[in-house]
Amino acid sequence: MKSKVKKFSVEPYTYLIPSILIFSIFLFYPFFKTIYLSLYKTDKMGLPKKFVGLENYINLLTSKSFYNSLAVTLIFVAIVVVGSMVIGLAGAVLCNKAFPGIRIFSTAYALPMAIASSSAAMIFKIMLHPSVGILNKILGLNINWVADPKYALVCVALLTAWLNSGINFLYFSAGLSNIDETIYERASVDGASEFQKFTRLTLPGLSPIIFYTLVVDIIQAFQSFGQVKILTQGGPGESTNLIVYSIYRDAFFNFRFGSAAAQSVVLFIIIMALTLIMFKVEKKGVKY
Amino acid sequence: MTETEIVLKNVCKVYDNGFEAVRDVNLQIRPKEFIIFVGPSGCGKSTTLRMIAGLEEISSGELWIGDVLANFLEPKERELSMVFQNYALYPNMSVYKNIAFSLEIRGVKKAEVDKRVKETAKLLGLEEVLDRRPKDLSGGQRQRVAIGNAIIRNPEILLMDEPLSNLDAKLRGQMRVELAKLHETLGNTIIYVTHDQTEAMTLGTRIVVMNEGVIQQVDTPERLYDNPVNQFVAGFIGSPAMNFIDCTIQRNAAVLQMGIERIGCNAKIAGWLEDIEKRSDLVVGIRPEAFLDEYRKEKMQRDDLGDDQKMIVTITHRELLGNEVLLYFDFCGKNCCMKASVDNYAKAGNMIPVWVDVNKIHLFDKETGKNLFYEKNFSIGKEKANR
Amino acid sequence: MEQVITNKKAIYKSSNVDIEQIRETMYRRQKAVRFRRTALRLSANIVMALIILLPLLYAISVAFMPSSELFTTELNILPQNPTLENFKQALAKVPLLRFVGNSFLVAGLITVGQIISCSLAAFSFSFLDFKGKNILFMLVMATMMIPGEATIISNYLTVSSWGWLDSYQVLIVPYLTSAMGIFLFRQFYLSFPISLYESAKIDGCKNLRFIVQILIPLTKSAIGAMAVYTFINAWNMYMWPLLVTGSDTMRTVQIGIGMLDSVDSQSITLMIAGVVMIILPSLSIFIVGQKQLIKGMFSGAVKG
Repeated sequence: MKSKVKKFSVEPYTYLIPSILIFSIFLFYPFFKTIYLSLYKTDKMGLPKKFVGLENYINLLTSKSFYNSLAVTLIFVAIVVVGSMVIGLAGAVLCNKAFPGIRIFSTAYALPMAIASSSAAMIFKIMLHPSVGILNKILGLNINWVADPKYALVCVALLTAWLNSGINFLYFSAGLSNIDETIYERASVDGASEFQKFTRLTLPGLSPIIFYTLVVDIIQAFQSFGQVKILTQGGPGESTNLIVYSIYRDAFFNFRFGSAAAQSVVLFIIIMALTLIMFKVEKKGVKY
Repeated sequence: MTETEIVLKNVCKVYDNGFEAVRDVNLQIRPKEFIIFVGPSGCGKSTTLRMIAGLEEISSGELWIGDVLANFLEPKERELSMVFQNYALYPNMSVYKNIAFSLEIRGVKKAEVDKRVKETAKLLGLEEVLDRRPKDLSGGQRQRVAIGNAIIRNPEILLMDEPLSNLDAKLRGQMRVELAKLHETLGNTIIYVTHDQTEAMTLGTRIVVMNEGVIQQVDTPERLYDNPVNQFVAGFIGSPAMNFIDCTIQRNAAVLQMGIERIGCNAKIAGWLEDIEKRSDLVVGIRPEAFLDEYRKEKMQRDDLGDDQKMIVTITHRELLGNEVLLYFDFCGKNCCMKASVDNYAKAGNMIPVWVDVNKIHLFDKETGKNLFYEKNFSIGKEKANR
Repeated sequence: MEQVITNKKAIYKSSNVDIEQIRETMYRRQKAVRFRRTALRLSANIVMALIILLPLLYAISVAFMPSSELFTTELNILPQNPTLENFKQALAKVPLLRFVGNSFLVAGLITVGQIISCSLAAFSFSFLDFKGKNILFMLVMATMMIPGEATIISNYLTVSSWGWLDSYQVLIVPYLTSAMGIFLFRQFYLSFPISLYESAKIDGCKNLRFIVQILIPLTKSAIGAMAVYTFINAWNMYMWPLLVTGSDTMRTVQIGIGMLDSVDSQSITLMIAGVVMIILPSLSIFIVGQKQLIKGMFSGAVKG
């Protein structure tokens, strides 16, 4: 194969045309256009009107609202990632050994991944409803969950954690089934307790998949939108004004496309930086 | 140091689906023994080992470790250690941590752990690789780490489940020697499972041959070889395997009739045959070395073998093993194998004379597989052992 | 020799102990322990499953409740007088069936389109040799780093300048390929020996024919996984359809259901009935395709 004289052929490229075309039009082009837009003041139609250099960015970096939205996003991401991973891991560990009904339970734990953020948000809206909601009824409380700045962010974050836990469950289950069963037998003979087996074998054995899930979860959590739009609209106050929601509001309510574009660029930079840092850390930290 | 005796009494293993993996095993394992369970795959040898380790529940019967009925003890309460077939090394830990694991979780002091790990590593030649992870080790090194983990606690009882089966042939030979040395140094009881009869023969002080969940015979290697209790053991132990040929014995004649060939017996065998009911459903077992070609016959000065024991065979295949030659020939519908002298240049198609060393033949009941010479061959084993 | 029993587990040899009896007790105890372990695991799972499924179960329950029943201060978990009224009214109030149809069309075409474009690209990346292959592949992988929200504004401006707003193509075309799909298929193709391709070539098999007749049948499990995953994600799309559709005729379910989300609190049960109806398709596809999804997607992902 290799020794054959290679002729130039267009054929390999033709198979790539559909994908490259879509990527170019709907990903690369808009990506650079976003950067371009972020340097302009725009009119209501989103057309660049006046080159302003870094003004949009400077405005952002001096705006309290932007810092608030950054802080809110970080808290949100932290809760979502920790929550969804804990739920996913708990499910995976519970379904680790065969027992009657395991298929039903594992389907249940994976199920949230099939549910849309908007549908879930609507259900939670009723569950969290101050007077008819089941949560207040079960807990015997009278809290207006989504209208209270203290609870709104946590509620949206837990809802998102629930949504994301399904796919985490699948990842962790696959990771667990990949751990060699005999090392547990050896540990039994060596004298390890169930708890020692979990902390010394299961968790380290899962560490590559935990790490991978962490990266994916963080990126995904940054992009949450539907649940905020339906449940809180960024409120009360700006307590749930996540970056993506802030972008949406700036662009499509305030028609400040330039500022929204600048925020998009910042979002991209944050996600890229986090991803790179984590892969650096992985090379040093995750042992396997 | 080791005084603990292990006793298995009517031990059975029945799985939930009704499969009987182990049936009524009775065995007494003495202190310091290197006992080997051998048999084809699925014969229940690993299951038996795992029941001793506590990794499988014992369905019925008693397991005594020392003075304790151990049936219901957790693996860690049995104070034994085990080497697994795939080594079961913890992939996330260094070699050091792997070896130290069982001590660490027992809360042994760091300095003591360090000392013992270093000693063990030295014993096994692992000092250079203590910081590496299992995936960066060669097969032989992994094997040593697994052994290191098992012996660091200085257990009275060491279980090994096919520990050498993942190594290549050369390394296996090396490790075999080292294991024997290790047993001598440590002086603990080793219970060892293998499907490789060579391993069993070279390592064990006693061998337990199992088939289909039942113990066939428990004996020393020499006696297993010379005095197998039945056709299964005879065929399983020894390589190349024993040749089995259907035969009949006739009334009042010290002759083994195999197809058209008749082999005359000497006085000793004739005496044995007298006790056996005359019938036709018998199987003669002849080991490859019990066929003699003219060179070996001469060398061993076996003038007692005459025309009565001679037959002419046509060689079908020749296999040179270095210091000896295996010759194959068809005999009574079976392809038989014999050991010949390297001076014998017979090739496929040649016809050569072959003598049957009647002193070394075995006679089996075709139906039950029982060795009809079992108790009688007893003396031969002793003779050999004394030599 | 030591005398009789000590701790609860160990039994010592002794001349006057009835081993049989002790063994019987121990076996019974062992069975009880095993039973308890299973029971513990089962009940832990039941609790966990109830928590995870609570939102769904609650939604189903509310969907069957007459709205008067919801408005009590009592804990009303199950409907006292189950009714289908909510479903009927929800269907009457908004053109839900139209939305469902739209979503099926959009999600279906996106799924088919992605499978075709991704398998073609993956074929080229894994079996063919051409200039710039590595750079192009890196470029494709790099797209995974760009969050959709970072490009959504420009995309919106682009499609609106084309006059594509409120159409099917605007919902479908931008999603006709995916870097993850290309990656997944490539992983699968790379596990085949190159000789598979070479021998087909020697037999005179054209590339396209090789894909259709050999590659696709061999990668059924990856395609199945892709299909389930893509369909569910497309069905659940929210932000993009929200921006680019305006009329009832083009809305997808996730946007359309928002029409039931009104301030009028009497219609809560109605809204939940609608939500239950639109969750059903993605849920059933997930349950049916779950095995396929795990087989195709996670066995490879974990090793990779």
